[in-house]
Amino acid sequence: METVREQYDVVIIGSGGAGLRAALAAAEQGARAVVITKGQPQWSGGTLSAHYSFCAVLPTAMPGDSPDVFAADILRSGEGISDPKVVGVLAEKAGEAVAFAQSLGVTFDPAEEGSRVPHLGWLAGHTYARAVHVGNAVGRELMRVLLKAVRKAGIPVHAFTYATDLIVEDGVLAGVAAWHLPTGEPRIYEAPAVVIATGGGSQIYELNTNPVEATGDGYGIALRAGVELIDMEFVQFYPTVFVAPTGARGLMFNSGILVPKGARLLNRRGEDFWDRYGVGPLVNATRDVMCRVMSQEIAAGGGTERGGLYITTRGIDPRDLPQLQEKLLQDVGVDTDAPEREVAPGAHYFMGGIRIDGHAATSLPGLFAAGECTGGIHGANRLAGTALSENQVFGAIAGRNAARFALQGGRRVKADDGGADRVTEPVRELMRRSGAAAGGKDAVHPLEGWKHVQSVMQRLVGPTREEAGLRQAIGLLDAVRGDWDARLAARTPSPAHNRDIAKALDLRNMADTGWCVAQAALARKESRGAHVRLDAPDTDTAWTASLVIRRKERDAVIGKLERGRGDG
Amino acid sequence: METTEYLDCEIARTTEDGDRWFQRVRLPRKSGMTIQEVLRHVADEVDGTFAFFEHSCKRGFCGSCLVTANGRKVLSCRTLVPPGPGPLRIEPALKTSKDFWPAAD
Repeated sequence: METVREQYDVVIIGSGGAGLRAALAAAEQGARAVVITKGQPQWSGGTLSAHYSFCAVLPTAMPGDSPDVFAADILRSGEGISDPKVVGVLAEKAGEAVAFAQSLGVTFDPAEEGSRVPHLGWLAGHTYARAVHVGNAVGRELMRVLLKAVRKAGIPVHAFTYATDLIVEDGVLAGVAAWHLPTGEPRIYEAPAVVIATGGGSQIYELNTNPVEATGDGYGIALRAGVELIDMEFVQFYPTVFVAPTGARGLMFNSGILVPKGARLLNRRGEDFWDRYGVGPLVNATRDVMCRVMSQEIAAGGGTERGGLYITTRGIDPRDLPQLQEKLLQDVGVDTDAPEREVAPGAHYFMGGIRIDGHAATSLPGLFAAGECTGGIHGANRLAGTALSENQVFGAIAGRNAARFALQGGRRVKADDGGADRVTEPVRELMRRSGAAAGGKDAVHPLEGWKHVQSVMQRLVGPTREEAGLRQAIGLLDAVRGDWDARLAARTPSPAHNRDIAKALDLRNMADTGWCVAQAALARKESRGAHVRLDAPDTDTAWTASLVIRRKERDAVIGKLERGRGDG
Repeated sequence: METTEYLDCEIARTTEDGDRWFQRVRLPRKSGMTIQEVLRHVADEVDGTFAFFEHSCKRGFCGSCLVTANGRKVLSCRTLVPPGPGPLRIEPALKTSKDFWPAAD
């Protein structure tokens, strides 16, 4: 099929909160922007699932609160390795981001009935109450108004358009190569500036809380273009995620509410194992400590056949369980009268990602990034309620700066046919191998690859890690990135509506992302925040530093960034 | 009604010309199987030409997984397959470009 070429000032990859905010900001500057998304904006991305909170220091903040105090809370939570400049921008601008959402039509729950002042919720780790909310669906409400504004501004959103790679000609960013899933049409989007806003990568783990789209696409795209990533070893796990039944798998069971009311954790033999680990009472345990202990108990053989443990709510008034969720659980066949639920730690959020500065600029001129796909803000652990603040503040900055870059002299480079061919080659290769006859007996179904990567990451690069396992994981992922990639085939040769092609493109990003997490986790020989090395259990001040990682040929180049020493 | 080991399904498909036909599929019943999983099973295990794209919040609120099952509109991610051998007839409830692949607006 003929490759379609289109020209823009700014191409935004991803249609979640960060991508749509970036599109609005770019258009405000007068840039011709386009949003390309592998899904559909009204139904895709992690922002939609943000339930409760959007944290900011508002003009009506509690006495004593300030952007400096907010920044200090984020830095403390990040355990010393967040980028203070980027964090400072976030804390300073989050209030404006809330005001912008209000200007688009979000009405936050009021402090008192009839009041225009939003109620501020108090979240763990915050010195002051600063979470605004809309019922239990702040993310969905934010997406609704952003999408309405994008449509009103006439910004095109190209749905089912899978960005495969950046096009870089002689070191200069020339645009984005993409695959249009419904038609099977290769597309070249030429632009001097690009914003990556692809969200996280928690789908690389067997058990995770994320939408199915969260396959680490931005990390893969950035790595393959030689762009720097940072803090990739830090993946936040949520301790009590349902493992069964299938319809409930991936749902979070709120340990933050249930543990204080007396919920306990049991292994497959029904033993209450918590006290054996000597980490203090369960009721005082933070999420990361819970994840570590649960992961160790599962590794020690205490897990169920499905790799879970039980959380028991025996003795808790059933009316204290989250009622909306109980209804959902009942619908998908959980016996809601049973006091035991099968749960395990599941991947929830990527703290690390594409390295940005306070201007949302990456290590490649013209390339900007925003939202969960970026790194530098959350360090080793994320403060609750900051995901929307991050995607709205840096979405706006990335969109504005990408537009300025494009309009004020960003070099327009034609994606020459050689370059365009190179980046569209993986899909063309895949198509050549597709169909029963072409694949041959060595053909690998992309979903086999998905299962393999998810299993490797869950077993070897999960909440607890050690050197031998990490080395094994890197070897296995290298094989997926090399030999497997060359054997992937779709079952049908039709390029249009081909699910296997979409899954194969996901797999490429999943393997690169997982490989990068494992490389960084191997390099960091200590434990800090969400990164726990059983063979190096202490936090070591020599490691109060970030790891910057980029790909050179097929290898990882890892550098240690010690901000205290003037190079941050 | 006794639960069988298998489930017969009739899955709405579209031809190149946009005409509808029903594909009969017998699949192994898994415990806790939702209607969305039936579609995923057909897409992943049975037929590579079946056009199916899931986004889905998996929490029963986004609405992207709405289908018509035996004539009733349901959110497929939070609806279990009925007991008994079937047949279970599944049709799209939203606008599609082919089979169950959503139409881009």
